[in-house]
Amino acid sequence: MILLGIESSCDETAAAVVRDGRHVLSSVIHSQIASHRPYGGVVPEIASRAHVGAFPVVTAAAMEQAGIAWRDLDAIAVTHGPGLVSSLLIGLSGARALGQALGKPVWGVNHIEAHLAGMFLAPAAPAPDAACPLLALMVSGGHTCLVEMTAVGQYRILGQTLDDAAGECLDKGANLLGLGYPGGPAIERAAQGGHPDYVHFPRGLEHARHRTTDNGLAIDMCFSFSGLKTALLYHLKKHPEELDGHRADLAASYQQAVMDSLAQRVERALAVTGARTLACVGGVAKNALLRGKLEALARRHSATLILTPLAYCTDNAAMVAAAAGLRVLAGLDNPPALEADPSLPLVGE
Amino acid sequence: MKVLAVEGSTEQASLALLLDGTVVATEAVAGGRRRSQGLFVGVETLLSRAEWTLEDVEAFAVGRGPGAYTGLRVSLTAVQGWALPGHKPVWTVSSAAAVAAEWFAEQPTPGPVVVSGSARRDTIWAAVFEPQAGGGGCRTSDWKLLAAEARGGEWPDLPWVDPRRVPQAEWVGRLYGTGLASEACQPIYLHPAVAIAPRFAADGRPVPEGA
Repeated sequence: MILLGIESSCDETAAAVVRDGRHVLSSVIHSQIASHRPYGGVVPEIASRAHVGAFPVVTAAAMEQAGIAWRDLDAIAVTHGPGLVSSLLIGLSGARALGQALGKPVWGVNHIEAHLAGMFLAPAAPAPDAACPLLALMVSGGHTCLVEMTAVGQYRILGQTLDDAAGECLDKGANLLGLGYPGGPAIERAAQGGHPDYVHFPRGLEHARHRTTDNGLAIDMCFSFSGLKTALLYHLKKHPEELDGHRADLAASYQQAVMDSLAQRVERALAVTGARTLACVGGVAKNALLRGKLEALARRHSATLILTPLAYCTDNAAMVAAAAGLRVLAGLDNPPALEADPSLPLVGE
Repeated sequence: MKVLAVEGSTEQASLALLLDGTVVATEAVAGGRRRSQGLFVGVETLLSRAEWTLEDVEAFAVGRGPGAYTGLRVSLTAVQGWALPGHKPVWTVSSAAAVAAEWFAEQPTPGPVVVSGSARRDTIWAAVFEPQAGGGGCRTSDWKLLAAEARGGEWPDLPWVDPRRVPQAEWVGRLYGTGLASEACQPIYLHPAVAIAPRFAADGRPVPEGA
């Protein structure tokens, strides 16, 4: 089974060809980082404009690099949500047109499920059947949540951010520190040599207990990052001189607070679920400090750790094709890709 | 030459099939939020009415606005998706040129004309088109953004096409092969993508406020 994956939910235009849900024949990504950098974050209108030009180029390159003919494809898998609707529409329209031209089915893939499938793209990663049940931390610029995965297509959200995503928090912190965009790598670079205890920034919801959110999630498995960003803002207003003398210390302290918040919730979730496998997916999964914290947690809880290969942490289309392929192999249907849904929930909860 | 033409710059999107420049069939596409769905359903209806398949189509013609960005992006991307597997040509022209071509065809002695449309927020876009020998017409002015009430104040000596006349896919298709050069496969953007000033320079350094 050979699938063409297409991803355009945010600021990356990507296409990939994947065989049997795990073997990547090609993966092409057109990054728009340079276009968004002047604004310190993703500008939806810039993203949408860029997707239109990049879609045919990226798709043709993925097919060429895979070395297969169009007729060899069994189906097309495209992200249909969640994401920026004006960006989703481009990939969706292109995929549907390709499907019509080729007479192949076009399946809609949930972006979060695609990130979860990305963890199985490492050649050494266990098969989903062997890895599940598992606890996954999904952490990126647009999403931050804890997911219990009992099988392909079987997901339960244990907790999620109540305000900003972790990656968004890093972008905003990098903006305040004058480090540029994207914030995650910028803060990680700036933090090298800095003292992570220089300022103790708040870990959102650190002391929350015995409460649930409106949608029934336990507060102590949820995340909050807006207070952290505000704390940095007020710290800099009070100590503007530290931007010159202590930028590395501030970056290190801020990064430490974000990664501590994530690791605390992961530890609680490990204790509650008793999961023996821990995974981390999404763009922030590239962060070395977070990887180190998760490795330590996994050791402490005797859990196997699956870290998404670095090439498939940030948005890509291989994970999209993988998600659809794994569903087929698990005997599940993929929904037809009809409409873009910016708030598409992770089904199977 | 079998051509599939697409025009998605307004709420009244349309599709057309042409054989050697003659219209074989047309299809209106519902606008609004379900535009994308309508385009893909509409093309199947259109093709089956003409007893063609997408494989039969040899080239695509598509309007690039000015007009509604979402509709234009969906139609331009769809056309590229239809064309990609067969490496078929995609020919792109301004939607306003299609309006001008239709207007010229109705005039006994066509001359320069102003084509305009809504640019939202009480503004209109407008440009002058002049007829050309092979059919249709060429734009001979820059695109202008004007206050809606200024309609007619600019180019007072030229006739203006009724702004209620929307571009039709069949006229986009008729322009294919008239000698007009294919334009960039991107919507015509008359507004910048971002209204705010950049906060960071290309090297990542912050841009001072007011700079």
